[in-house]
Amino acid sequence: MFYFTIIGTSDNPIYEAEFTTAKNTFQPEIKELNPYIVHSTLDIMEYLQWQRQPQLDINTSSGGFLRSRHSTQENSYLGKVDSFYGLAVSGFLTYGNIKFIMVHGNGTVDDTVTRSFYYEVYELYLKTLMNPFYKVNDPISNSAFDSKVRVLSKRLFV
Amino acid sequence: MAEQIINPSTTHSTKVAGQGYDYTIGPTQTLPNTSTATTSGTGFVVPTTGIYGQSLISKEKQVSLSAYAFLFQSIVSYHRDSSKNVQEIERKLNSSGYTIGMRLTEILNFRDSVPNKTGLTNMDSVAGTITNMKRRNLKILETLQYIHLTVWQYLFSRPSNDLVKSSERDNEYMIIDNEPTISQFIQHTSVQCESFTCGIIEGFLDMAGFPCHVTSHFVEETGFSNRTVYLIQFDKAVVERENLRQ
Repeated sequence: MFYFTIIGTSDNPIYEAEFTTAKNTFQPEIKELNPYIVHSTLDIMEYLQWQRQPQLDINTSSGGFLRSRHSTQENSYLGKVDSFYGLAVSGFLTYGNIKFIMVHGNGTVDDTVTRSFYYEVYELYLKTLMNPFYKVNDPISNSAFDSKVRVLSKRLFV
Repeated sequence: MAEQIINPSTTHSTKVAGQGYDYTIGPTQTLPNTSTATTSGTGFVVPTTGIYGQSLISKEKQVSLSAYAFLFQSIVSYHRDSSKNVQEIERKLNSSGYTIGMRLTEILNFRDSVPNKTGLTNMDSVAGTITNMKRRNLKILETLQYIHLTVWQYLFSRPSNDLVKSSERDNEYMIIDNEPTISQFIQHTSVQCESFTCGIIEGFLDMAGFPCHVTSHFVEETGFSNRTVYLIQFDKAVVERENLRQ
């Protein structure tokens, strides 16, 4: 199960979704906590935002030198940025400093899958932004966007 | 919308996934009965047309200069008629440029991340071809270089003529254009029509995380009567942050 949010430039949520299956659903008490977990991650994201090489100790301990070499090349996808009692949190920053944050209910972040998910969602977000009637930081209420993101979410469960 | 009560996220039993996000309701779940329904199409149809079906990689598009000049003239005269003073006209021109600039931050950088752009103009989704996103620009100079080269190339099909740092104040930078494209048919007036371009620069830098204020000034030079200097004044916080990371 995953809880995915897009956070605007003034720390306002502009899109939220839960990706669950019949077997994997968030417990009601965790479900209520998810927005708070994301909120506390915002501070870490803002810390990483202006780092030349965004790196956290939790990344280096798990990934070895390949992981750290990678982060010198890219600073949009941040990988695992936070954890909360067995839940993992991953993050992505767009060029306009919109934050994509996801709570991974299974406690691990599969970098390849998560990265490609973020890229695809970023493309969808960009298409929303290209609409001249959409203002930055407005909630994205388009049902086509919602459906497309949910279709993309399926690859997370593989 | 504003009067609706914001419910806790567990009380969304009436909301069906695939109907769009509603911030008064909170996240909708991918319910077990809807996650498999994509093919059968019960309330979870993925539309193939509309803005989400178009490619973000555009073909080389050019607009006729006369048509553009006519449109720009209409914009300026519209703002002139609806404003009380010169500052208001310039502010309105600035804000219409701003909305363009803030989109350019995202779209131009994204396009730069896509390798081999040829042949992708008809694909709906190009994100699959990206292996690594281009690095976000974190330094003032990197970002200004990007405007000076890439943004100018995108807007006016050529880089700007110069990029200068002010020797007096360390938060001031100048982009210089000898022959500004959009105001080339406009004589020197009390209204700075280049406020539109200022708005584009300002929107671009604001979104990229470099809040600033941009003004334009005519600085004539022999041969270039419309030579324009875009003066970029960054907020103090931007310069402080820059100094911290050195």
